[in-house]
Amino acid sequence: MTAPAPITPAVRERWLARRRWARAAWLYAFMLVMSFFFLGPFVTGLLSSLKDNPNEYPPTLNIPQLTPAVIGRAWAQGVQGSGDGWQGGLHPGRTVTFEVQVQSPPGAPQAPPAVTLFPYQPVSLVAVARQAQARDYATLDTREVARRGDTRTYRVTVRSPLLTRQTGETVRATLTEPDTDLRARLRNGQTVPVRLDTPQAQERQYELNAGQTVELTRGPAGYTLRGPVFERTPLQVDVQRGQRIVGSTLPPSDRQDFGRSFAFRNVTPGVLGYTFNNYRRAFRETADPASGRSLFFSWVLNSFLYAFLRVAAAVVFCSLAGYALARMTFPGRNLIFLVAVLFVQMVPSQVNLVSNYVLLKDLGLLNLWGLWLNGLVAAGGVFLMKQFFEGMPRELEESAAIDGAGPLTTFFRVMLPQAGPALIALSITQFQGAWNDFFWPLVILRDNASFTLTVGLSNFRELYGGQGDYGLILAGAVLSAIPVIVLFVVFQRYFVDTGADSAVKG
Amino acid sequence: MNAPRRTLLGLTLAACAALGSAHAQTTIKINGYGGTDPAVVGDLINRFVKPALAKDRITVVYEPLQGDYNKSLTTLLAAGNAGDVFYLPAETLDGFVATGKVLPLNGLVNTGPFIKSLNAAFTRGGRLYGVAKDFNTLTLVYNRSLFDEAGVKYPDGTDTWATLQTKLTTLKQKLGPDYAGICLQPNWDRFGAFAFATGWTQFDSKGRTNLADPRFAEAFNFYTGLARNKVGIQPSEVSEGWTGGCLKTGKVAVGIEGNWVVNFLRDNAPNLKFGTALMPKNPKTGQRGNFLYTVGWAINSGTKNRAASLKVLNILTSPQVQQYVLEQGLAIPSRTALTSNAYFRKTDPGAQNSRLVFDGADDGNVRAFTFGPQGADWSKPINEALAAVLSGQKSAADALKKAQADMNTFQKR
Repeated sequence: MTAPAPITPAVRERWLARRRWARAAWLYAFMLVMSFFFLGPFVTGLLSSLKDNPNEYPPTLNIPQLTPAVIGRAWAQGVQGSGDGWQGGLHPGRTVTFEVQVQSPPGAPQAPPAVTLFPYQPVSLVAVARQAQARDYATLDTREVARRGDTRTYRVTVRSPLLTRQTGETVRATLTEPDTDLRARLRNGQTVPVRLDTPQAQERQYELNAGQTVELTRGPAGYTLRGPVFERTPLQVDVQRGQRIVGSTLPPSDRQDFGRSFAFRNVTPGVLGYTFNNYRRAFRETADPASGRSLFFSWVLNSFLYAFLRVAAAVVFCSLAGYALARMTFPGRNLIFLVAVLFVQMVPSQVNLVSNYVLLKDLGLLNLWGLWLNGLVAAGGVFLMKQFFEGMPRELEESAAIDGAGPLTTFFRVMLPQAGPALIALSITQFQGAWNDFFWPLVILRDNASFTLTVGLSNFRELYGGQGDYGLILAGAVLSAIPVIVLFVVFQRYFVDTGADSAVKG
Repeated sequence: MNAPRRTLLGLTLAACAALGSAHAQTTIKINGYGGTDPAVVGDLINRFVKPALAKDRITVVYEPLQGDYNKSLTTLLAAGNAGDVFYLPAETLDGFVATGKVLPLNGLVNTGPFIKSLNAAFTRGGRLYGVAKDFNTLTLVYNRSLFDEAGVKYPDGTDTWATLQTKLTTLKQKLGPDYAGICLQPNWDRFGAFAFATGWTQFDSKGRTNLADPRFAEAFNFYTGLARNKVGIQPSEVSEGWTGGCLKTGKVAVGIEGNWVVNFLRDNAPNLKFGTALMPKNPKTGQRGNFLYTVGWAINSGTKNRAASLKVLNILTSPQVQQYVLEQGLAIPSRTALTSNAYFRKTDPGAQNSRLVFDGADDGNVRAFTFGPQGADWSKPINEALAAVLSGQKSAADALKKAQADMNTFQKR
């Protein structure tokens, strides 16, 4: 048995140092675990929203939508199809090539793959009128261009035809409701008649719906139709039993038939159409049939407007009421505080559902303004401001009074400027509350275009959730989370400090 | 008041209403589903209703109810705030009829041209409460590639439960562990069709449900028996939420679905090669079983514009509207006359599915999809039993015993 080592200062120091490191390690481990729990769902949602199949199981982190080489090719394909590497698409008169490698071992069929265009327009939240499909216009040509061993490379060429013989400036336009002739609205809002100067164009007259994006040629004969602009170029490649598809310019979005059938939902995606496809869809495929505007965009605007109104009202009313309750003496003050602030907070808002709904209905306020009125003064906010003002030194007001300030001047010139941190805390909580508010908007808002983002997203869920279009739902959810995250990151440091402590010198 | 006088009064009132609507602008509000319906109904209103009613100075607005439609409609009806015309889902019909807020349409609407089983779905005690807007039934939707690969014949209209099971088992044996024969939702809304095929009825004359009936057990044993050796799997086993998702993965050969799956597959598995067959027949009865899922147009009994509402209802169920809806691939029409429509003769898989869904409406024991007067909780004991057996937690006999006990408790409530 050995005697215990004497505890020298050096040993003690080492032990303390180990303790410090151990503590730091625990702390960091704890923070890592917590951030994994809190950020994990968001990151997973974000990644899944980029995938072709968000339900993919087991989920992979190595997704082509985030692979630089693939994004580069998506850009190049977009440039080929439309001249725009961001938006992509297939424009009239353009030619796109796409390569597929097929392995045909000896004994297997040596035939080239069957390549077809297929119609693809996802069912949208509010059905956008049927868009022209590349399949009905473009021509395909498949050619073997290289051979290495038993693997052959085939080049598929997609040609989008020009429907006019006229030359001149090319302009983008949207077809309007048809009457006796075809008309289109130009970018500047002007509506012009569209001539169809070739038999190929005339064949198409009754196939194109209002809302279709087209290219026109402006020339001496007026505006003629160059052709519809296709948002996507969906391509399908099928090989025979025994053959294998071993590579393609872009990775396939769907594989079926034991890997012998590849579908590419868009071979001219551009970067936005490839990596951010679901995000672009959230904006594009939710058009209001009446106005043609993006519903998702309206919902974002409505949410911002509602959140802004709520914050403005809270800042004004809560600080005034909080100050009055904290510093003014008037009969019934405590009663007001008990009933109007504390008791109101104890009653869940669902209890007032019927009465408030009927009241707002009778006032004709079943809209955003009614929603605002319903949450105009936040009892919690009044409470927060009251507690904050009670914590402020009375000396500030006394010195203001000595300088001849009345109650209003004292409030606006002395107290309110000091209340910055409380106001910011109030604003952030109110903003977040309004942004995430679901119950009341769901009850009050009726019209598709007047929804806030939360109700709109539940609409997404209803339509796509049952059908598994989770990519779109996730994209919407990620977009709706961003403002709150930004708000917290930018404003969290203002939570901390007030200058009031240093205002009074001992 | 005697009958002729009541009729006279009714006529006078109707005339007044008609006169009123002729002079002043009348607004008819329609309540219906959210989702794509606002666009579809909006389109119908613009194309068909507005032109027909412009001279009567009747305007029509569509107000979608987001979220849970039945709950929202109940709230609005209670508040006296519901539309003049509204969607009436057949599965929750009983609850709404009990409130007395749905106008019986006998004598007001000619139901002759509509499919009989659909009219029956909206009839309670001899009174008709809705006119079918469209409908769906179940079919077997199958992945052709998997059958081709396994060298097994596609399911077809001659299949019985036994031959279907043989096909699926062979397919599973040939394709191995990564593939499955059929996707089985642990749910009344798919399983019930098999129970009906045996001749079992949902409610007896006293409104009781008998799950101890040997016919019910036969269907239950067949359905859950399909899961043996993983020939049948639940959607969650391929990390999907429903049968359509199973089909999308390309790993499951057959799904029991209605026409809604066609649009889903077109969007989510565009290169999946699928076919459709009628539901298999029960070997003993020789009958198929099927559900009729339908939503009807109904009129609010409290409407101030009864005549105008009826006009709107008649236009929305007219042959022109149904033809349009069919040809747009939006829904299956409820008029028998449309059975010869050219759309049904098209050869693409979507149109074929539509035809078989249409045919399914009067082939075998077809019953409306309903939960009875006590609402959707009615199906809970059955769903729990299915889930317990399909996931291997209970034997079929134990699960059925517990389901019957739960059902008795529920129906005594």
